[in-house]
This record gives sequence, C-alpha cells and structure tokens, in this order.
Amino acid sequence: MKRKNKIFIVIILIAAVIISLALYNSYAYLNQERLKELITKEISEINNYLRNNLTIIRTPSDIESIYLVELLKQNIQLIDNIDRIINGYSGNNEVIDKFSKVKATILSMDAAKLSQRDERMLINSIWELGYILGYIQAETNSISYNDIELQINQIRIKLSDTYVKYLSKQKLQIDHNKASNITTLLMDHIFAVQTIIDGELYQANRLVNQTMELIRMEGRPYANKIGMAISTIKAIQTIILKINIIMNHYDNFYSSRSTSTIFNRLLLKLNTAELRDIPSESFANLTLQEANNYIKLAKDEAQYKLYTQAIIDLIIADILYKSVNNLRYIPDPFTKTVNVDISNIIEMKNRIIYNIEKIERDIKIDRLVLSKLLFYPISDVYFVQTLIERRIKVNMIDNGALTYLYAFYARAAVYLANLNKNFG
Amino acid sequence: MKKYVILMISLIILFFLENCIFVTGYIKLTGPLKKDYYYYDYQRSENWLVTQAYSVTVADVKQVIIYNPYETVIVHQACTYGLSISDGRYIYGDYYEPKVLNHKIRVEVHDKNSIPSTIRFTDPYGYINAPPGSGADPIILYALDILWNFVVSQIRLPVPSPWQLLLKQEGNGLTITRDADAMGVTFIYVGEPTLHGADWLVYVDKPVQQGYYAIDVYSKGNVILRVYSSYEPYIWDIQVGNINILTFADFRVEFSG
Repeated sequence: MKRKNKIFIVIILIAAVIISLALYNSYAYLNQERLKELITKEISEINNYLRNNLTIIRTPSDIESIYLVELLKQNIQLIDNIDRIINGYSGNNEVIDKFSKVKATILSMDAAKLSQRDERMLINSIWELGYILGYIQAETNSISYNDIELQINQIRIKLSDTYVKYLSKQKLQIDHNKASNITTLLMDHIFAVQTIIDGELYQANRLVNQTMELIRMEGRPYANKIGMAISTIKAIQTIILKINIIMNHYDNFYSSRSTSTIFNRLLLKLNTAELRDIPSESFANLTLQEANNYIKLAKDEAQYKLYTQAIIDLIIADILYKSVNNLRYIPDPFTKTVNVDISNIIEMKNRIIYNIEKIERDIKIDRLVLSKLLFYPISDVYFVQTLIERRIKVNMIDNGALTYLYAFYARAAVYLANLNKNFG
Repeated sequence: MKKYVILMISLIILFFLENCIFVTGYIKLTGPLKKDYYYYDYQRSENWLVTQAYSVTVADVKQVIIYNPYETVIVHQACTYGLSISDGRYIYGDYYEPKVLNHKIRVEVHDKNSIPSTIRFTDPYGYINAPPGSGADPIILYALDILWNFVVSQIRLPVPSPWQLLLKQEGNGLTITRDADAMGVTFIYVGEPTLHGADWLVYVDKPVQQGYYAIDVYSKGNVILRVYSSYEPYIWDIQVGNINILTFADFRVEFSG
C-alpha cells in the first residue's frame, strides 16, 4: 500500500512538472502566435496598399506589346533548336523534364496571357532554355570552348553595333536653362526612355564579360559551365532586342555631351560633408556603403558614356546620403539586435504609406524614372517581408526579426520622405 | 496506473510536436552526392565499410527575377550532411569503434571577384537531429522518427531535422561563424550528429547586377577509429580519413522588362 502510494506521488510529481513545462511552452507559443498575427496583419496591409496604389513600370508602354511578341518568338525558336537535339539525346533526365515543362508553358501562351504582361516568365524561360540548350550541347559533344568563344565574340560585335546605332541617334541637345532644375529634366519622356537604353546597355556589357569568366570557372562540371554561358548569351540577345525595338520607335535622343554636363554638375554637387562619425553598428553605416556603391556604379556607367542612367544612380546616391543622418540611431540588423516595440514598426509603416500617398499626389516626373527611384525603398519593404515570412515558418519571431523589420521599414520611410523633399 | 503513463507520454509528445517545422517547396540545387568510405582493418586486411556520407543543397529559388539594380535580392538555401558508420567490432580482445568528428558545413562565395555584386550571408541557422543517448525518451524518438520519415518521403529529399533547432549560442552543440566580410559562413557541430544541416539567406547588396552567382558548399567530417585496448590502459584514436563533399548552391539573378 505504502509502496503504491509512493509510486503514485512520484507519477503525480512528474506529471506536474511536464504539465507546467507544457503550459509554459504553450504560453510562449501563444505569445509567438499573437506577435505573428500582428506582424502578418501589418505586412498584408502594406502589401495591399502597395498593390492598389503604386504604379511601377519598367518598359515604355508604347513598345511593350511588340517586345512581348518578340520574346515569345525567341522562346519558340529556342524550343525548336533544343527539340532537334533532344530527339537523339538520352542523358540527364532532370534536364529533359525541365525542358518539357518550360516548353509546355511557352506553347500554351496565347494572346490573352501575353496581354497580362508576363515579361518575367518569358525572360526567365529564355534563361532556362538557354541553359538546357548549352547543357545538352555539351553532353552530346556538339559544342566546344572555341564555339562558345566565337559566340561570345559575335554577341559582343552585335552589342557594339547596337551601341554605334544608338550614338548615331543622339542628336538632341538639352536646353540648359530649362534643365538647371533637375526635376524638369526628369519630366522629359525622351530622357526617361534613354535611361532604359543606357541601363540595358550597361547590363549587357557586364553580362558579356561574365560569360568569359563563366567558361573559365574552376570546380564546376563542364556541361554546367556551358549551360551558364549559353543562357547568358541568350539573355544578352533579349537585351539587344529590347534596345533595338525602342530605337525603332524613337528617332532622337539626347547627345552624350549635353547629358555629361548634367552628370558632372550633379557629381560636384553631392554633399558628403555631414557624413562623419557614423556609428559602425547603425543602419546609417550600411546605407552609406550602398550610397558609395551607387556612386561607383554611376562613374563606371559614365565611362561608357551612358550618362542618363548614371544621372539616375547619382540621384539615388544623393537621396541615400541625405537619409544617412536620419538613420544614425537605427540599428544595423545584420550585426545588432535591439528591443523593438511593435508600435515603432506600425509608425514606420504609416510613414511609408503617408509618403507614397504624397509622392503619387505631388511628384510629376516621368513614370519610368519615378519607378526607377521607387524600386529601392519598395524592395527594402519586400526584402524584409521575405525574411520575416521565413522566421514565421520556423517560429523565430524574436527581437532579431523585429529589428530587421524595424530597420528596413525605417530606411524605406526615410528614403521616401527624402524623395518627396527632392522632387515634391 | 496505465492511464497516467499514457497521459505522460502523450503530453511529452505534444510538448515536442509544438516545436515541429515542416519544410516544403524546396528545389534541389545539386546532389544528393554520395560517397562511400572504406578503410582497412590492418589486422585482417579486409575491406570494412565504415562510413557513408551524403550531402544535398536545396533552395526555394534557383533564379531570382527582379526588375533592375535597385531591387534587393534574397535567396533562401539549405544544406544537409548525413553520415552513417558501421558498428564496433571485437578483434583479439580489442574493441574497434568507428566515430565521426569535427563536423562542419562551410558556405562561401566561389570567387569573390567573379560574382556580379557583393553578397552577404545572413540569418544562418544550424539544425541537428537528436543525438542518440541525449536522454530523450525512446518513445518520443520513435514517434519523431516516424514523422521525420514521413516528411522526407513526401519531399524525397533529406532535409534538416525538423525537431531540434539549435540556436547560435556557444556550447549549444553548434557554433556559427561568419567571415568579417560576410562572404562565407562556417557551421561547426559538436556532438557527432549523424544528420545535420544548415540554412541561410543570401542578401545581395544594392546595386544588384544580373548574372550567375557561384557559391560553394563544403560538408566536412573526420572519421576516426577508436580502439579500446584490453592490453593498454588507454584509448587510441586512429585517424581514418576526411570526408569532404562539395556541392554547388549557385543561383542567378535576371532582370525582366
């Protein structure tokens, strides 16, 4: 009897310990749940707002439909090429599977789907198909390093032809009285379209250089390298295609002499005097680094005489320099974790929404340029949300996660406010 | 009596299940790579399978599509590393026990000069399965194993063990060290886990350029043969070999529009 009692008591005690552990755990769990719910609500609110109120465009609307049709043609041509090789190929099944999937999607695309402006999908499939083509060609030994080098040289020549054609169309002069105010310049549609060409030319040039590095890369299987190289070459072709379509629609662009004057003036005007004693663990520090990277990028673009894009990068750097001071007391989430109250996050979210409202109402610069200026803060918002969504999945909504959310929302809010100050 | 025991067990299982996570929707980057390691038992000169090692790298995206250099890029990737060793054997009174030590997962940029933009590994976590003999109830381990096998069978990939997420604290079975420039992370595991893993985010600094970003993932472990001699009063460790599997976590950034 006594012995039985003892066992009973021990079991009760153990059960009590476990129950209290479980209770504690579920308390922490509930707390996490509450926090998760709050954050999810904030995130979906800002997402809905951005989706419904912000128009962001990347391609001049007058060439968009032609461009999409051409992209579809390129896709189908690639599919034909691969189909021919794949009939006699029995190698990597994953590659074949992937090919048939991409093929099915592309062949099912019709006018209705194209009108939904599915550029992302079309360009992505060109990269994919290019990779598959290169991979299969390498596996069947129907391509050599020399062939690839030849293809790279051909695309390099095509690119420089496009560049020469572009230079020959640069006949306009900027009225410097009118352009003394940078806002007026950014309202000019020709200038805006030119920023697209300059940006794309710079990217194409970088990609050509990377293709050479890709085939020389050590420690990667041969077929992978060839796949990477061919897909990059196909991607450069789409860029050249886009530039040519734009050039067929616009006869004249601003001369690099007149845009370079504005670039140099802006570069001199950049004010970095106040940027001293930035605390190393503050978000201002990282932002300052990114601003400097934009200056480096702008100078590099200027070397290729792609001044209009360089001007946009200088403007972004300028906004970032102005934001640095406001971010001195915001922690750098990559290196530091602080206690963040949820109300601070909500306040930052409200400031983002307030500033976007103001931008949509007051800023009159060309939508193409405005989109380029808006990508920076908007992607900050989307980036941190991706991070938080992952944290929610693994139940790690702690101060670290909140610091990320706070810092990136704060930077977006400060950037948007300074954008308003500059052009509002 | 029986009721209490059942209550206790169900409570314990509930307690653990609350912390479960499930990974879905991953795509495979490379692998699974498998390696079989043998070493010779010098007294019998016969082939003796000591270790099987495999590693796989997975990601939720392999290509990131953005619109231009002003957008941030974020890529979520994970790697697992599994090892299996055979049982110990008695030979002429000595006991030979194979062991694995110095587990490590190292993620790094393939070549800092060739990637199109600066990248930064961030938010790293390590995963480890409950090591045998950690004091956990065999029933719980059994229940968890069933769940674990279910998850693996569903996605047909070895994934980091879902029930024990180690924090990046010293002495907690794992140390995570990021390089000063954040272009590499080293996960060092203690406690000889048979299956472990790591996941991390790749943050590409703005301005972001398009192209291929080559990233290497090394999974490493040492195999030793621990000899408990009946003639000598101490234990010998014989170094058998390094297991080193390289997988690729490459991704690419492309602009659209």
